[in-house]
Amino acid sequence: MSDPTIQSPSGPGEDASGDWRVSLAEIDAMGRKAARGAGFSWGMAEEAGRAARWLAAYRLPGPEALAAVLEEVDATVPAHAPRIDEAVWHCDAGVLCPIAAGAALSDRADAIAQGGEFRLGPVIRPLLIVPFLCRAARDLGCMIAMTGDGLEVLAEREGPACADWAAVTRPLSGELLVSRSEASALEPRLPGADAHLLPVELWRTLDRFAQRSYAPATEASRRAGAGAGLIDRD
Amino acid sequence: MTLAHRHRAEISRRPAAQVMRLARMGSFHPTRLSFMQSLLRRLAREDWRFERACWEIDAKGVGHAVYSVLGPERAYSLVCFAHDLPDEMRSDRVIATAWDATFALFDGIPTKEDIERLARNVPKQEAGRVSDRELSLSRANRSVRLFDHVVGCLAAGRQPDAAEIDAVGYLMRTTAVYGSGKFGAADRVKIAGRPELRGPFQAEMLSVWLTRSFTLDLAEHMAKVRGGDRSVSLDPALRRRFGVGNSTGLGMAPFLINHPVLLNNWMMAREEALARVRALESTDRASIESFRAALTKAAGNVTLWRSEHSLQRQKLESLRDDLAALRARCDADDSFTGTQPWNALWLWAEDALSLEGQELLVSLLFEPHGDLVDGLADCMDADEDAAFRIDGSMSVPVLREILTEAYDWALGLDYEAAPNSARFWYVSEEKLEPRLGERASEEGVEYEQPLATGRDAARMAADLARWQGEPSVAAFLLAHPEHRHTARRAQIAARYPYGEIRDNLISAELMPIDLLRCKLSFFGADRFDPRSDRWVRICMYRDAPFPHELLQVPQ
Repeated sequence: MSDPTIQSPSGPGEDASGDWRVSLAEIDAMGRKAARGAGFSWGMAEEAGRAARWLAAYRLPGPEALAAVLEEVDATVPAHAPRIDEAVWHCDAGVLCPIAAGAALSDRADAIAQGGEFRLGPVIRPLLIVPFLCRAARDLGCMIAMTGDGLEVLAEREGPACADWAAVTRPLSGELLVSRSEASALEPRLPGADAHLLPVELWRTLDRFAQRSYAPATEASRRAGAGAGLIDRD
Repeated sequence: MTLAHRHRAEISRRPAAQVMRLARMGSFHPTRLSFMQSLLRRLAREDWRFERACWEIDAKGVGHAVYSVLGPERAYSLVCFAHDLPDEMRSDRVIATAWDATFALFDGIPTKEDIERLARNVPKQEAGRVSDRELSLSRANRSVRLFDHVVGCLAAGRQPDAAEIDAVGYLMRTTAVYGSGKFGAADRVKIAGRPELRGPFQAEMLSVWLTRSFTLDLAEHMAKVRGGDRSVSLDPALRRRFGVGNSTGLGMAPFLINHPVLLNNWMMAREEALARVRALESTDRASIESFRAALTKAAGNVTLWRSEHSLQRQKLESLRDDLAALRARCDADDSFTGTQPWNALWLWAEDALSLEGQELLVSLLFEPHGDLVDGLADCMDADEDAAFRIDGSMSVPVLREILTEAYDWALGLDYEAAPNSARFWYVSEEKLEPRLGERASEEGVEYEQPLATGRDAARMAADLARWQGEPSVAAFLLAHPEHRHTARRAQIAARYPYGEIRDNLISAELMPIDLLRCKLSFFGADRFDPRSDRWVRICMYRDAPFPHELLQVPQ
């Protein structure tokens, strides 16, 4: 009766190849641990896991995008967080982390709902911003558009709508505009709940980051940490 | 408004500051709202059918069996694999790699191909992989002593000894019962829309209930193999005395902390039920008799409840005194004659009984009042995603106010003092399981998990007090991403009053078994038997009806 969102999913063995079947809960847990391993704060790592899971539920390559982001921001997470003191959000590292940017946008969703606009870019993988906007759209009962540099996504209450997802999954070198939208001509995507097949190599990449969030075993931890006490035979 | 209504309005749910303390939560007992109880009520109410469609176990006790329950819309099947496990390999620890039996709860009725696929993966547990046709994955080990005793007796044509049965309580102990998307199994979202699985842990509880039948069928099978024509089946009354054991360690401990909305909904249902019973203006003979019967049954159960753990022994001693006091209080003919008789009893108990006794009384008060209480079981699931988004538009003063109100227990502590920060939670690289370390003497503090709720709230409060920037949570968190986790918790605590445990979870005084017992009581387990401060053995479904007794079976 353990908790998949907390316990670590077992990784594929060394001889595994091809695809690896994972549940959404495992994507969430792995994304959270991997982001923590790459240097995110716990609260931000939670956002990363949720975002990857959310996208996977909509059959969008969230885990892939998260792995790409972690490779890029590894050990330099703060330098990729947005500075919002100017008209266009930017960061010290040049390219924005979509988790940090998505969280900052989500935190300002009320301003967006009231007609405010935010500009930001470039972004490592703008796809990962979409879950933040959709959750805000759902909670605040409005539609939010993310446009610019050849991409256009609409965050609706039911899910995201987009005519060309390929443009959203690529790195974005230009600038994004995030603002409230009133009308949509596109049908939003709907989520599924079925298990996912991810490439084993992708899962291993995330797992390599996640491993950094685990404490190496010591004699003391082996002895006391698990709660050894009376033996369990009767 | 009538006088009665005014009286009722005066009784409210107990405040979180009273309820959400580990000493009290670690004294909880199962109630009518527990998940095993609500599962069985539903299956009976909806006329589910039961069948053991397959029993292919050989003379060594090796093979597989399938137990199915069939409801109005869907069926679920426990696929059981029985193994021949050498004694020296038998361990309940999560580090084990082999078990006496392994199980998967299948969504529907499995085909031969499904069973073959499961046979390749389920016996390997963590090292295998299941699919989203599976809802849970679990394993169990025999109580060698009792299993041998029962098989020996039945093979020789006699019934086993009731005292031997009661001393252990089960033929097998499950260890982990994995659900909700573990090892590739179906996600919670896939089943959460089904009425029968919407409540928390219903798939896991169903799996354990069917496991109980399997353990008894297996013992009878082995007795028949050994004794042939001489062997007998278990007497149905004796059979009921068997539950399923479970050993649970630290792996489960962080659950209540990591699921504040769910915890809130469990506690809210329980507290609302208590308030409803206390608010009753009067009672009747049938309710009083039902209550007294529950009290007698509880007293019997406590007599059989054993523990070698010194703390639990003390608690049991208090509980026995409590039960004696409670019976004296309730035996008199005029015990329930005044207005709000249950409330009068409750107020008496708050002064007269230990925490164990008070919380047992909560369970007892629910018993005669199913019509008032049972519907609350439908309010115990949670949409956690709906509470996930931080409200960045909240002002810094409001967040500070939340901390002052919901974390007052945490803000005054000095976390530089060693006893207040004695422990740290981490996940071990070796087993990928939550562990508790000693901050002063163990390495690995940099891997600390975000479970130091009180300390982290105090840290955030200090930074909020110093904050000179734009007074919004959004601006504060942009500058302080390290507080993002705690800010989310605090906003949840403001909306869900029973979501946060109001104790220091890294204190030298922490008893992790309190966390386990609280959760296990919501499952419906009883006879908590701590084996250290970090793991506990329990019994599930003891005295409960079996599927072939509760449900319709094919003739």
